[in-house]
Amino acid sequence: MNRDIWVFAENFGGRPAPVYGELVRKANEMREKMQEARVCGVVLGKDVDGLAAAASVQGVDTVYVMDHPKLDTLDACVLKEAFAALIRAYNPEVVLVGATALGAELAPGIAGKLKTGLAAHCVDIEVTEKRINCMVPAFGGRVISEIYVPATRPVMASVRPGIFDAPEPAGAGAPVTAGNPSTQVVRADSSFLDSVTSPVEMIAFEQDAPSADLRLEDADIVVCAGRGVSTQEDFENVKALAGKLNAAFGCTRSFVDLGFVPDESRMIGTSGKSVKPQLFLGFGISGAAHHTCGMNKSKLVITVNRDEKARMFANSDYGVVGDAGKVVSALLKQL
Amino acid sequence: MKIAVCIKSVPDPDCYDKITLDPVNKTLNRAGIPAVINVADKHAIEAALQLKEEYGGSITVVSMGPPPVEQQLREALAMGADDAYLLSDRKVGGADTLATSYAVSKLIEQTGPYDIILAGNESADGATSHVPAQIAEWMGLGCICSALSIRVEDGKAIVTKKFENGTGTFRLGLPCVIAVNQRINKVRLTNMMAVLKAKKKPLTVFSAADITGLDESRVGLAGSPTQNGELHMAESTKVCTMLEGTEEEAAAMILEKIKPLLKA
Ligand SMILES: Cc1cc2nc3c(=O)[nH]c(=O)nc-3n(C[C@H](O)[C@H](O)[C@H](O)COP(=O)(O)OP(=O)(O)OC[C@H]3O[C@@H](n4cnc5c(N)ncnc54)[C@H](O)[C@@H]3O)c2cc1C
Repeated sequence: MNRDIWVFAENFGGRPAPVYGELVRKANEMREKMQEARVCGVVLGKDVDGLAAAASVQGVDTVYVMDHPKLDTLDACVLKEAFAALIRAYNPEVVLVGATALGAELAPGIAGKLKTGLAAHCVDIEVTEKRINCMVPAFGGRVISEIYVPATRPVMASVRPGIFDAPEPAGAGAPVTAGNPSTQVVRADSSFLDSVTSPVEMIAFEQDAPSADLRLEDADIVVCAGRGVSTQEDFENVKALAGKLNAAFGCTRSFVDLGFVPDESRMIGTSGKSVKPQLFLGFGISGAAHHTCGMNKSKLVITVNRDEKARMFANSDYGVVGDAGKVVSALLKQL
Repeated sequence: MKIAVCIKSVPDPDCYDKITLDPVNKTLNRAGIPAVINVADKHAIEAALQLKEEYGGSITVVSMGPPPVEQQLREALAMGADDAYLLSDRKVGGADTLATSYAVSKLIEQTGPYDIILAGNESADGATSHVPAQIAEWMGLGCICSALSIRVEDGKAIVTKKFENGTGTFRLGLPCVIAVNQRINKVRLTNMMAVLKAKKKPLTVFSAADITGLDESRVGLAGSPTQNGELHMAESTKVCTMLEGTEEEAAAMILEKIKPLLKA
């Protein structure tokens, strides 16, 4: 057993998913309290030399690579075999996985295979003298529970994108322009995969049409509609306001349920995105824990609700008691 | 087509803001919060009903929990499931996701075999999304989580799932485990007739001893690799200043506050 902290570098079109940099930064903070710990990246896929080089970011000592034609897939069933084999071969103490669509399915599969503990959707990870404490939200984020793994190894934790801070320009997790000579790339034997057959086969992948709209995770300003934005006109006005402010548009659950937005990529909260913009402007949001846990790291929060007792105000720096639609159209006029 | 649907009884998510922490014992106070079927699991039941309508067969709901969970199983029967099994035993209590998925996989083995095992993608309370993938791992089956559509073709399940940058389509050999995204369907309403009929449908409660080959070292608190430390309330550190006035005046004040942040 060594004290290595592994971070999964999921393949997002030949580059590690952005959450990789966030987790590498966190892993480097953890290592300060873990003697002799190294921070290592994990790369799975087919012909992934480029990805391994891209995963050799600041603060990563070693990148473990498993390269095999069968890993050119989003099937977690075969990927977990490869990942678990790497863990068995090199015995890390901690494995961090970004809770992306793939990661959220892969991590429990690996933990199940290795019969070890996995903490889900951590909002923080603390290394104390005695143990590694994963802060895990429950009841929609109303409660934070400390989860630790006393006996089995590795300690596994998943973290949703946007929860931890992105790397500083030259800090841990930041890309290295000319490749990282101090990162060692270890290519593990993948020949055992020749005889592995997965019960799952990926038969198609349809790429989303490129969208010009600012993504929630990239925005300095987020404008969010809650159910108090109840007419089509008000809804369009909130979107228009987002456009005028160079902000990303976000919403609460009901708009997804009713089909106003096509999927969870615009929803903020436990089942959607975590955002921490400089400014969060919210309209007609009640402030359910499921929602606020996705925005409570925002810097300046201003919200409008017609109910002066709305819980959302407890998560706000400034509040307006009033009609969401009217405030939005006044803002549009005054801008 | 034999379908199993795993359901969980959870405290009603509309009441989570009422949960408090006992400052002395550090235990949760959730008294008075009613139990309901986890929302995503209702969508799994609906998915099962649609598969049954299309391909025929039967739907069995399975759950693990204390005896009152019978009530949520009855509700699932009223939604249209054919029979139900509950694994209820102190020995399986206090389980984390790995120990839960082990016990549920054993219950599935005991009452099966099934062609498709469905579940909701996440629970409202714990929301780990671990259990479906871990049931699949214990049973050595293929699995897709957050499924947006399911159909059966040539004895295999065809399942779609949304990723960050697109939609993947997967073919799974049967049996398989599929956890559904809530967007997969709209849950139909149940009527009084169905509720009455559900009272006569078979519901069997098993204890740990009833489950063949259950390894007791793998269940409950003892079988759980994760342990709980302290609980904390997620309290906001913000102090809210109210901006008073008409909507127009409030808008002007908001603009004043945000001006420094707006790019020219
Ligand atoms: C497992 C699970 C996961 C979930 N995940 C998420 C998630 O990721 N994101 C999410 O958002 N939700 C999520 N939810 C749902 C969440 O619990 C809440 O139901 C939801 O966030 C409420 O959205 P809301 O505030 O827009 O609506 P409501 O709670 O209905 O609140 C509407 C608010 O608008 C105010 N209002 C009404 N009319 C006006 C008006 N004219 N002007 C101004 N104010 C007005 C009301 O006073 C009220 O406060 C999840 C739930 C579950 C069970």
